[in-house]
Amino acid sequence: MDDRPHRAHRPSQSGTKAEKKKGKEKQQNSFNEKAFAPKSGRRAERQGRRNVERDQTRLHVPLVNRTPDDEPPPVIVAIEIHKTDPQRGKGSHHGRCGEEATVDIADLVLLMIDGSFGFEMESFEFLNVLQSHGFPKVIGILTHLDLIKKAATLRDTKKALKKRFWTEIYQGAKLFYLSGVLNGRYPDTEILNLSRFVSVMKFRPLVFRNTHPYLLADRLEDLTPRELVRTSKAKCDRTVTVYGYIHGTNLRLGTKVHIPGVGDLDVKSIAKLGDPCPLPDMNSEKRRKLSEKKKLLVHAPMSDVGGVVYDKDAVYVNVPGSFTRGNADVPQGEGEQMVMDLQDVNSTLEDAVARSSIKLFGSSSKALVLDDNTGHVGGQEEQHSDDDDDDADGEDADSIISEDEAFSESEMEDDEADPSPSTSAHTGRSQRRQPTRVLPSSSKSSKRDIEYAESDSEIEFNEGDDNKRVRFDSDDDHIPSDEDEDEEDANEQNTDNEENLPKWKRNISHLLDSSSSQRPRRRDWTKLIYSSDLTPDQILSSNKEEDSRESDAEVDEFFHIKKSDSTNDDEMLDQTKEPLNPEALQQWEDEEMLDSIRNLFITGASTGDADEGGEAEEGEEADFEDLEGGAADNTDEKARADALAAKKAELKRKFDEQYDEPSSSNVDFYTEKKDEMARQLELNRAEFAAIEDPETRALVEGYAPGAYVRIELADVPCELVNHFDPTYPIIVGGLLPAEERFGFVQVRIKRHRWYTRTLKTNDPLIFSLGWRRFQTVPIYSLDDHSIRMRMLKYTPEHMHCYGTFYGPVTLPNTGFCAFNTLTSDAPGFRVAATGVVLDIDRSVKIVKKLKLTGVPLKIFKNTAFIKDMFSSALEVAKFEGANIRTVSGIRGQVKKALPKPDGAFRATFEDKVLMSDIVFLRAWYSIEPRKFYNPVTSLLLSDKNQWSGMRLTGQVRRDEGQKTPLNVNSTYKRIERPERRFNPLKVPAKLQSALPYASKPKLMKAQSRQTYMQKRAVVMEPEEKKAVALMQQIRALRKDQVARRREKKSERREAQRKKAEKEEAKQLEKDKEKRKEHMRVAGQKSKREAEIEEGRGPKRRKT
Amino acid sequence: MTLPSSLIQFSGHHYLRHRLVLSILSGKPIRIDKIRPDDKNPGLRDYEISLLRILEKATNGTIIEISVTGTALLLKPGIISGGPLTHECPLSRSVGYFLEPLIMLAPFAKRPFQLTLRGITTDDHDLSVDLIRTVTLPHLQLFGISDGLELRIKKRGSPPAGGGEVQFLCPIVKQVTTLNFVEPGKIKRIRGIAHAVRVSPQFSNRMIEASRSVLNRYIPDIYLYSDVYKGEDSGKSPGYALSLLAESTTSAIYCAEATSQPGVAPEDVALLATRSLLTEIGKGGCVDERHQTLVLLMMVLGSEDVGRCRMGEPTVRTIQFLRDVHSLFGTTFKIVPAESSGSSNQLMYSCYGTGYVNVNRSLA
Repeated sequence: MDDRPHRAHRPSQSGTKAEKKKGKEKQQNSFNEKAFAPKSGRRAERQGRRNVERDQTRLHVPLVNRTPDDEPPPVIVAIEIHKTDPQRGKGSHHGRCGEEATVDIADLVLLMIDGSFGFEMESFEFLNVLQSHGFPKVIGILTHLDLIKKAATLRDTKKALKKRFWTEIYQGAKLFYLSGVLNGRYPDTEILNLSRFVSVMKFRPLVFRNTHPYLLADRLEDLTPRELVRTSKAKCDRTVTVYGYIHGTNLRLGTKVHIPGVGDLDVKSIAKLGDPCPLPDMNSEKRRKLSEKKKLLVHAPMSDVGGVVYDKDAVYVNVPGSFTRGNADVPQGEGEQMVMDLQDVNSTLEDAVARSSIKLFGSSSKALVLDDNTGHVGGQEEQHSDDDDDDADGEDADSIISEDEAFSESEMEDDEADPSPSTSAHTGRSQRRQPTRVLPSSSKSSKRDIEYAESDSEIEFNEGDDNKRVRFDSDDDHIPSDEDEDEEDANEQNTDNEENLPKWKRNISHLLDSSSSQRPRRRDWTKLIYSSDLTPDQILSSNKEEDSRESDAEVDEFFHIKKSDSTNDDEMLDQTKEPLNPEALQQWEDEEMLDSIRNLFITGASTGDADEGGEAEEGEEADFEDLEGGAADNTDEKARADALAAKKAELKRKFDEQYDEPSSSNVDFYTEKKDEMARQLELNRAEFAAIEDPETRALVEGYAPGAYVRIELADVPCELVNHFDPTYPIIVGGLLPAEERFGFVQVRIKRHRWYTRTLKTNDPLIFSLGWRRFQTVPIYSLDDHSIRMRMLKYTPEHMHCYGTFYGPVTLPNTGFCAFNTLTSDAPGFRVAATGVVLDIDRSVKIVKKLKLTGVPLKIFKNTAFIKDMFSSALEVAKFEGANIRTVSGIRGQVKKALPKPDGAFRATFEDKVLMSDIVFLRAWYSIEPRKFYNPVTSLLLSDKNQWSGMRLTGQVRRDEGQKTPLNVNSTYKRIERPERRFNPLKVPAKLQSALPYASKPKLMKAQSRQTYMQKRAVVMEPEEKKAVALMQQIRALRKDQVARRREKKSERREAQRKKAEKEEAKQLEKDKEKRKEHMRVAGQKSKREAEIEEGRGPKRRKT
Repeated sequence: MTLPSSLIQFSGHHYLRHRLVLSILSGKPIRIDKIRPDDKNPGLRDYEISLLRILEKATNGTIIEISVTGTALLLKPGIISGGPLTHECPLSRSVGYFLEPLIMLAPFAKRPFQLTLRGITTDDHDLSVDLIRTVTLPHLQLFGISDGLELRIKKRGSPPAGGGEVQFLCPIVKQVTTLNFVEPGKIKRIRGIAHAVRVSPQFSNRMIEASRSVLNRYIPDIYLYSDVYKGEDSGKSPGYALSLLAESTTSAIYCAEATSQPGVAPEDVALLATRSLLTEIGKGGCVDERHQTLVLLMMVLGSEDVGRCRMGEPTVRTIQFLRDVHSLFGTTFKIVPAESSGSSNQLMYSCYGTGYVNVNRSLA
């Protein structure tokens, strides 16, 4: 805004103000320990308890963080913007599918919320998706706050949004406010603050990501041969490489990967590349600013910088249009420059090597001269030393070991990473690429070479008199593989083998013998087991018979093969116990032999081992004395003192180990677990750090998170490449071995409360589960009294239920969310359901109710024949003994099939049934979900947002214009119940006479004959008639009078009631007021009392 | 380095058990061909068929196809279901043959295993039930599988007629813990079980006497139990055996066993067992040769951390096992001579666990 610098504030140096300030400062400096001291003992106790509780809430279940601290992968930040928010500042908007994919991997989500609008439904959808995938960290960013003009409204809006945000995420979730846009940008300071906050943020590992490796591809290359693409008209399966930083856990060979939106893919190979965007180290930190050249070196995912693309073993130069030389006025890209420089070169690398003079030491005056048989250059040499299978060049290698080392150190960086022979000073590749692009293997292999050379020299000393230098790999020569192959060769063509064998190799056996006699042979078991073709028998037998085999190889080998053949026969059982060999065990009859293992027992410890150790120590000391001799007495004393101290420390440690159990258990469980994890992590790091060979290391431990790798994927659908859109992220998620399989997945599922419709069994639903997104048809069920799983037609309204579907196996306890449609134009809330995986199985036991009905055919007393329930005697046989019931509730049992009408059977009931009764049998019919699995392949579409899977049943009907099928038996019809006529109850006269009066049937019928009075007609006299008429009139009048009076009375009453009501309402209001006042006074009173009590409490205690 | 194709091929009848186990655990289908093709009696043996049967019973959804000649086998594994199971083992092998692979599978089942096996309980080829109970099961405890892990010897059965019965109970786990077992320690106690069925009960006492005559010199903490089964529980054939185990301060266990032979005195059997125990102790290491595969498998299945174990040189079975693990799980072990091993040829096996989680275990 106003960039004009303000005048700095100058505090007054003297005067009252200064005095005051001085006093204040003094006060501030002194810490007033009483300030926060609790007033009372009880309060102190309460405070203490609260502190402890607060500490507990801070604790979380410790999780191992598998991301290494030294070279962590870059943090993945997803920025979520919704559609009403026009894109401003930085950030990008992905469609629905991309969005869900990013949710799986984002470490941090920046949720942009339009402050002037408030939360949108999409935001809530997004949060729900996040929640079901483990909830990564979310920071809300309120934008558009400049649109709110009034300060008070702004404050209220912020408060309201924050409150909602907190309830949605957690209390205290971070919310940033971006005030507004100036010149098309957000204020720099605010963005800077935000990015600072992001950069120092710590992330709690999520369980799913802590068990799966994954990477966000920042580059994608199609490696399919062009010709194949052309001939197949771009329809063939592609070989594709993706590049990115590994996150999560170690990515190991042999794992399958899943790319959301594409499917499961096989990894053909993995290679580690140099970090394109390395972390700042000491060197780079020295230069705070990037030079102009370095600024070219932007790591720009999914884009092409300067037309040069580096791969594992190739560099691609992209040349725009026609490329001609000498067109100097056109600004050239890095790649073009490179190509031109290459064209300038007129001497080869070989020449350059020949010209260069290499000195062994910096001080040596004479440069080394190369023989002409050392035409190999460093790079090739390296490869030979890697696996020395071809022996032909052994001799060449011998003589140039030293040159090789020196050479490799000087030239290594240049020619390893770039296969093109560029040696001149003006190589197209500029120096600055080196630290980043050099393959890690290059430097390491050179180091390894040096080690080999050292080990060689040892053997050379042994050799002594032989003046020819012999070189071989210490690793390889102990593997019998070389020799074995040779010997097998010898068997087959033993004529000219001896001549063919290189001279150096013939020496080996002698050499080995001499060396092995001096120190125990170290066998490289890892190589023997994993990279040799020997059978296990051969490996072990070669171990035992090495020496004897060496002497007369041919004969021995011959017999050896025979023997192994014979053992392959049946006598070798697959057995754990080795057969006992009584002869070999005879040695234990010897007393000496028995005593020799005494030191392996605790009782023998003091005599055997410790003494030996002590002696060794003594011996060492003696040697020490001898060496240092009479040089100085004080050093000798010091050494002794040191030894004593060490001994004491050792003893103390032992003592502590034995007796300090309680103190070590003093550490609480949480700290203990954390320490354990830290220790294990330390061990993980240390264990394989010693392996120099990156390939072996990758074989053993895979590629650690943070490594920048290139993954070659085989058989990728061509649409991924054809419809590739860099704005949609490509995520490569590693799968656990179990996750490649398919099965029935049982989940606990709940329809989302904001989703408006219920979900129907056997309607397709799109699940987002783990890495995968797929459509499948679930069956919903509920547990019926732990007896059976009963199918539900629809999901319950506000309850969890079980869902079972056919799909990829996922670890139990993985969360998921489900959608009916993925299109962005669908109205309403789209997250249809959320839930968690419970169980994986290969079969399911879900049943639905089945009622079989039948009708009586013939009825005896309690027995009846039932027909129409089954169609054959076989079916009946299956249900013999089953419980049946009539509609009226009479229970019974199926007995046996009848011969005559097919499917009729005899049944017994607890009472006599009626012919009109319907008999039914309740049964359970087991159903299995349909094996339908349709992965969402949105990345293969040209329009990524328009993926649509199988339509819902209703949708299909609507589209096809079909009506819902109607079963005529299921329609509701008017129920017509004919009047039932019952026969009169007839009690035999004999029985009737025997019954007591109370039980005797009473005369029920109405009298049919007219009575005497009914038969007579009444004729009145005129007088009488008049009197009756008068009476009638009087009565009518009276009636009318009474009615009118009553009406009036009720009217009056009504008015009265209304009036009273009004009064009462008034009174109530008054009472309320009164009560309120009373309570307020009472509250104040009691509060005061309590305070007095508290204040007095401790005093009273003191007295 | 290429990915192994989804169907993994093996050939030969050797190492059948661990291949089946690895296949079921990894969920990858395997095909084994050339099963004794040149034999007089080609194809699978009865006990191998029986093993396949029990594996099918213990799993859900497993498809086993055997070729007409019986020389090829295709296994498409399902999930390990566990639960109560009963199986009659053929008399050609002892129950140890069937128990060993099932012990490897049992912790990863859906429901706890309650397996009853009937047949021969002790023979010369496989681990006897005593050793499995006292040695193999404690090895599982190294990996956090302990509560409810039990092997009950209901009846003993000696070859040839068998008639024994054991019950194996195994809890299920979510994940096995990472092993870090590098200190063999020193032997602190020796235990043993001498059992005799359908022979004079004095035999077991004689064996104990003979064994003690050798072992008493080392440590005082020696308990050798005499375990005599009578009547119904003693099976159908006479026999006796002595199984010994030595436990170190770091609870490394060494074991040995000898069974009755016709015409051999019980004292000689005892001496044989005792001396082979001394040989085992002399070999050192944290895990003996018989349990190498079990321990290595559990290390492979551990969490995604480095597990370490110090053992002797791999046996033939172990070498093939490591190769098969590599082809099915992709895990490679680092095997280097153990430091401070001195002259003995102890090796340090370390590997990065696959982070195997028991998928079968249900949450509800």
